[in-house]
Amino acid sequence: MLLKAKCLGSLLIWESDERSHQSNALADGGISFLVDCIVSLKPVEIESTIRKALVVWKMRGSDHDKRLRQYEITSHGIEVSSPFSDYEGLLTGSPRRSMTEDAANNWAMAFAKNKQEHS
Amino acid sequence: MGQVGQTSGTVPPHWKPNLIVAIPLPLVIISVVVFNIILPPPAQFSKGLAFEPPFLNAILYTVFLAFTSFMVGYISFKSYMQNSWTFLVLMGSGAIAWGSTSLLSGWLTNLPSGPNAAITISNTGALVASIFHLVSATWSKGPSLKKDPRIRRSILVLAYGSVLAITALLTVAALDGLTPLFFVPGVGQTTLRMAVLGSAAALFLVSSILFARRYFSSRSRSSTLYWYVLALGLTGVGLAAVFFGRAPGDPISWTGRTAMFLGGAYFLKAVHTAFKGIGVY
Repeated sequence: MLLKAKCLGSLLIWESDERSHQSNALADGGISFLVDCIVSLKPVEIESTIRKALVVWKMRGSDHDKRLRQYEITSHGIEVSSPFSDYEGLLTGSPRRSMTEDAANNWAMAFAKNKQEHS
Repeated sequence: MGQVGQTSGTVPPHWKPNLIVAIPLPLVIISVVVFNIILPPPAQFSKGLAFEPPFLNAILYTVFLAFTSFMVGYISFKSYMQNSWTFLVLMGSGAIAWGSTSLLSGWLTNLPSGPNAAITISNTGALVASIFHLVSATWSKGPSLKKDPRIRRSILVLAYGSVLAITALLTVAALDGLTPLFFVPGVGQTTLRMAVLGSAAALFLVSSILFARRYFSSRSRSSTLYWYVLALGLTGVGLAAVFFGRAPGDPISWTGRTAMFLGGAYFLKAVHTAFKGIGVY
């Protein structure tokens, strides 16, 4: 509060326990109400590849984006890209394709795989 | 698309095609042949033999043709967004054309001005849908995964939007009497209707045969494709049956409609198998 009153921004880094697979381990520390914004960074495994995920849990006074997005750290800085809209359960450590996305994939495979066999 | 290669060469042990569900296809053909022999020609046809209660057609068309087609359009939309196969846009557009024109024609059947507008919309929609399905069945170009998701969405919105816009224009034109006559009460169908409906039925059947060829030539047979082949076949046979009808609501019309409604149910079953993942690979 003191830093905020002096118009200074403060950044607190909290390393959560990966083993717990908690959706929001920060809440366990009991300090989430003190901060204005909570951004969680988490590696997730999708199709045997580790991808970096980012989600904004809280941004006081803002209707922020609630989607889990992929990000990359490049030479130009952090690049936030498209949300993981095809997957569910990423934060629990057991990601799976959403039912609709699975069905959409099955639909394409039913017609397309044979196309590929012929070509 | 790496998953495609991983799965080829495996035969599903848990799924076998159910031949009973294919029986309606020859059954409809036999029924139409029998009715065509026993029913009097259009000039001598008694209206008492026709059954066309208000709203029944509308409800059946909405449930079995429009809803099921929109489901195919929806899953094709999601599938194209994910896989970027162009044939999915064509398939989805065909489904949207069939669904939207069926919906409108179903509700416009009992207009005071007669059934011509509804028949015009329905038959033209069937022809457009069958062309889309035929092109989809013959499309051999692979996916372009480099396409940005926003571009894919724009392509789909443009394709589906164009189909819906054309349907709307066709409806307005048919209601205002700006389209050529398809059906004249007391006289019967015009040559134009015979050409449009005949072409639509033939193209649906050819699409069904093309997809069936793909189904049989594959070692890993898909239940989704199986149901889709039957759905297209029943739609084609249903349209062909209507072709021989004496008047809207006669036994031949209802045989054709029943085949189309069953085709709609099979379209839905194809979507269901994709959701369940039954026999997909």
